[in-house]
Amino acid sequence: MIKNLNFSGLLFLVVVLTIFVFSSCRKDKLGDVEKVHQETEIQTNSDLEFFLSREKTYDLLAPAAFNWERPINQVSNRNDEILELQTIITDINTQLNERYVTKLIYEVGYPLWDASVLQLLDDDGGYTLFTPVFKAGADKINALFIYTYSPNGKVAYSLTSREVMESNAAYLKDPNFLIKINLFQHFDELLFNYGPPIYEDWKVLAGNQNFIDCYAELIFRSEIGGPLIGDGVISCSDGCYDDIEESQAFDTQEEMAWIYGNCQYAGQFNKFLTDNANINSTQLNDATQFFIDLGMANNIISFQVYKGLMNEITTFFADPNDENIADLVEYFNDNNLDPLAFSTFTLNLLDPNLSASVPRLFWNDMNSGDYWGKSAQRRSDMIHDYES
Amino acid sequence: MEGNWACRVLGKAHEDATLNSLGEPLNNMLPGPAHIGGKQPDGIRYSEAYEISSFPFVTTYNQPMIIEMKFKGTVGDFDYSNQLSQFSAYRTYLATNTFKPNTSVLHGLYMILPANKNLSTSVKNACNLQNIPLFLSGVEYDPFDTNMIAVKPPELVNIDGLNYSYHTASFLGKAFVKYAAEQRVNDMFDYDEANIKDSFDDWADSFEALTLLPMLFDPCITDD
Repeated sequence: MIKNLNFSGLLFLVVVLTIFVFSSCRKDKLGDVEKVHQETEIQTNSDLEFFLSREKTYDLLAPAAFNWERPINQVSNRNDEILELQTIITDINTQLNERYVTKLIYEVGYPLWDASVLQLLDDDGGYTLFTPVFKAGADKINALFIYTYSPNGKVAYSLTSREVMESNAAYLKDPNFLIKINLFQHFDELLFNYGPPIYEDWKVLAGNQNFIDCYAELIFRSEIGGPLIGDGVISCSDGCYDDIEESQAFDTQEEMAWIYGNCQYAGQFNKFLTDNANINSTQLNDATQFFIDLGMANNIISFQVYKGLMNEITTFFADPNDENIADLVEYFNDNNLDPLAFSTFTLNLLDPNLSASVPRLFWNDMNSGDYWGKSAQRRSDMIHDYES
Repeated sequence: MEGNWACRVLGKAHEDATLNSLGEPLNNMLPGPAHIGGKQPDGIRYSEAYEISSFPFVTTYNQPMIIEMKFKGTVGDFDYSNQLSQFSAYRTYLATNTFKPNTSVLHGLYMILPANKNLSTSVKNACNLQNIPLFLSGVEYDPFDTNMIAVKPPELVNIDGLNYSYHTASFLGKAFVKYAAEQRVNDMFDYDEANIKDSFDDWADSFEALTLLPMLFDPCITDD
């Protein structure tokens, strides 16, 4: 057929092909531009701003928690307390080089601020706030913030992931294990109608825990009602951890709030400081700061692994011979910790593909395609319809 | 002819068997560049390091480790004096293609020499100047079967001259960092026994077919 084409026919064919090729390239080009635009849109929302935004996290998480109605009236009553919790998270984020919140998002997800539960303490002015954390598309919560403010000004802060809850059940060292089980159960049922029997098994285990010194229970006010009547939250009691309070390593309010909210770590720190009292003070301070940062930054390393690492390093400090060096490196490797990690955030991050960045991908979907360019109300309606 | 034989048969057989011992393919540069400053190393591997960053949350850094084998007999410690341009090209590449090169030790130059051969002070000093970890392994023959060779475990030979402060556990000191870095390199490779006689036979056959036979039938070569 080509043979039969005259010059003008051939010219026409070339023109048509050129237009076809150009339009194909143009389409790809436009696609790239659109993609870049969306990526830019995402990048301009900082992780911290997104994490703290009650509206954005609500938009992101509400479709997964499709059984839950937003309690508008209660939300306004919790504003101050939620702001207090957000303030300490922001301060920790600043202290940890702006990476704390990013690590939280990567590892455990986003908080659903509006589902927070507030419990007033028997002591006037004191309270505890519980806020659930989960990834978009999840069928259960993934972590829990606990923030306690005592009338004497002491603040206790903790974040507990589901992975750490599972290790708590194995090792029973967390004095707040029982109340955390109650809260995980409460939020799972409230948000997802999820109620596995494992929680009842854990409660039996938690009931068998014996804690003696240095813990004080702050009882919730019974007349308030709510899901936790009769319970209380355990706090570190004053004066029990002299070595910690005297240590120069614990030198910020955020670090003290973290240690007060994680009493089992406080006992271990006291032991570490006592056991290593004879080593070079600079090295001891560096080691203590490493463990403070590790405790605050890593949300999925179990207390048992953490305690084991402290013990191995104590042995190494006492006698840094070849055998103890090999044992210490082996301990890192056996527990999926990287001895040459660049930061405490990545100490347990040997395979970045293991944790998918589900939340952001989900959020990206909600701002593109069919959702792109719609009014906030229309988009919200569409997001609500998404799961059904 | 003798130089060709040493280079194209003995050297290649050593290189092949050594790569087999490490579990590395020949000329493995992937995913790196084919040449580094115009030079081609015997191999390159990457050690992954991570940082938490903004979306997509984790940044992976591939820290390069250049593998170079030297089996040509020289007197004394190996000092790179015959291939300074190669040595310089490798150092430049490592210094400019590593994340935090001046304060970390996940990259490096991995030298593989005959057993009991050491690296000279000048080689160590040059690496120290650019904070390049210098690893050394010897290749030894199986005393019960001289057809078999194996690469010995790596040693980080210049830890005293390195800055490793970017690693979060640097407070544990240089003995810890040295051992952890050696373990990391050790875990990258196999360190199995490899048959050098098979490699020698293969390269000798190849040399005969590609070099000796063409010479034999080349009408331009006469028996003077």
